[in-house]
Amino acid sequence: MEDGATAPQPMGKVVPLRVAAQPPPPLEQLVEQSLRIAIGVGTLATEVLAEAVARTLGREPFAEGEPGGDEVEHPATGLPLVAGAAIGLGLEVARWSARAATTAYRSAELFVGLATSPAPVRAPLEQASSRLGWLDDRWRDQRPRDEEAAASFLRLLIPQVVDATLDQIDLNELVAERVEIDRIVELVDLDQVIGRIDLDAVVERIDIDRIVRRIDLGAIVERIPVDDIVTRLDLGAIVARVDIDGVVSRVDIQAVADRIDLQALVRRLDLATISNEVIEEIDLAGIIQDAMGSMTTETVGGIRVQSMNADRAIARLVGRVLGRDQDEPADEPRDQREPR
Amino acid sequence: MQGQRAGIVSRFLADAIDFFVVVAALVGVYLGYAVFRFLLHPRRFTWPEASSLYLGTLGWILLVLYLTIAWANTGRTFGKRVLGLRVVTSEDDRLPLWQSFVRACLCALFPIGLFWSAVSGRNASVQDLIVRSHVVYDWRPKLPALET
Repeated sequence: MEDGATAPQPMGKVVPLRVAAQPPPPLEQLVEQSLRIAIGVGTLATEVLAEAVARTLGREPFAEGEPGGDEVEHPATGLPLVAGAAIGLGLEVARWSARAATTAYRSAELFVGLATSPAPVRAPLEQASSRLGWLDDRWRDQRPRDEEAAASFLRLLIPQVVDATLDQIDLNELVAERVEIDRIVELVDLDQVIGRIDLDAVVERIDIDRIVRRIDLGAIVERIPVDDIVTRLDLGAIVARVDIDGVVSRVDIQAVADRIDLQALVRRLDLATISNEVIEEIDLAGIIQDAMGSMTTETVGGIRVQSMNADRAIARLVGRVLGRDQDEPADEPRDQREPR
Repeated sequence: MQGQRAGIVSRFLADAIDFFVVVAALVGVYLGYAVFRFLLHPRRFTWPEASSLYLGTLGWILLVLYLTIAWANTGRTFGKRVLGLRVVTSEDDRLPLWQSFVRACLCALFPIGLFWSAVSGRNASVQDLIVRSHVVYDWRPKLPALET
């Protein structure tokens, strides 16, 4: 902060005094503001004292059903009216006094300027001014050490004061009375908070095995109405929404097959019984008989027809050689039709 | 052609099949005998040595028995069944046992007599002429078609 304004300091350190570079405010404003602060502090102190005294008497400062201090204000009467009027009068007096003092100061400044202009008067004034400057510089040199000493003292003092104060205060009650948790929660950007949390680190710190060991899963499962849940589920709709092709395409079938102990699986099967059941279901003999029968019938039919044609050819040849009459009917079949 | 007398080619093929059937039966008898010997004396087992005469005689007996039993029962051996033939009497009846036995013996003794059926006007072999039998086409009738 180049302009000399007070910079934010960490907790536990005393804020060092800085000389403001800005011109000082008018005197009358200073006086008026100081008076306001003094009156405000006095009023608050009075209220606190009154409340403390009321508590020592076992009485709430504001009985239930009565409006609080921040709510509807009744017109003051009696002593409070007189006290308020006195304070107002004091404020006005202070304001007018500040104005009068300002006017007097400016007049005196003009008069002092005229009075100190001659050389015989200015020389001792400048000497005095230089003497004051030397004193100011000395103070400025010592100021860091003074501030450090004060800071050390406050570092020791403040915690004790705070502890003593906190001992007198029921923080839980205070928070419950004064803090609007819902409003604070509304102001918190939970998304941003969650985004700043390193969930991996959090999860790594969690001893999941220990948590699981402490969970009575049997009791939890017994409390779940599984039958009701299942009856309420539309399994058909659920299955229809599953992209089974996508799931299957992501499954490494080969890896799954490698992990299956087929030998053990086969050993557990009653292959003899299964085989007998399968054979009983399948009329293997019938199938073979049908297949062989059709094949054999076709083959035998071909052999018979071919041999029959050969018989006829031989018979014609022999008949021609021996000069027999060929009395073969004209419509004698030569194809694979069965003899009738 | 059903019931007509079969020609030389069909009959020769049928007899050839029967011949192989008898040879297979002969081999089966030989192996059965070998197994029997092995079971009796496993340590001293050797394959039985059979002379050609012994095997020929055994085969001839098997052939006669096979043909006799087949013709006397159904009129058809395995070969004739394949070729769709049947041996019947002159009245188209099944051969009696004695007639079947005589025909079987003649076929086993004089197999070449089959070829007379090639020149015979009635497709009759020498054995057919002696025992008055015929070999006719007799295909197994088909089952009627299923009604759909």
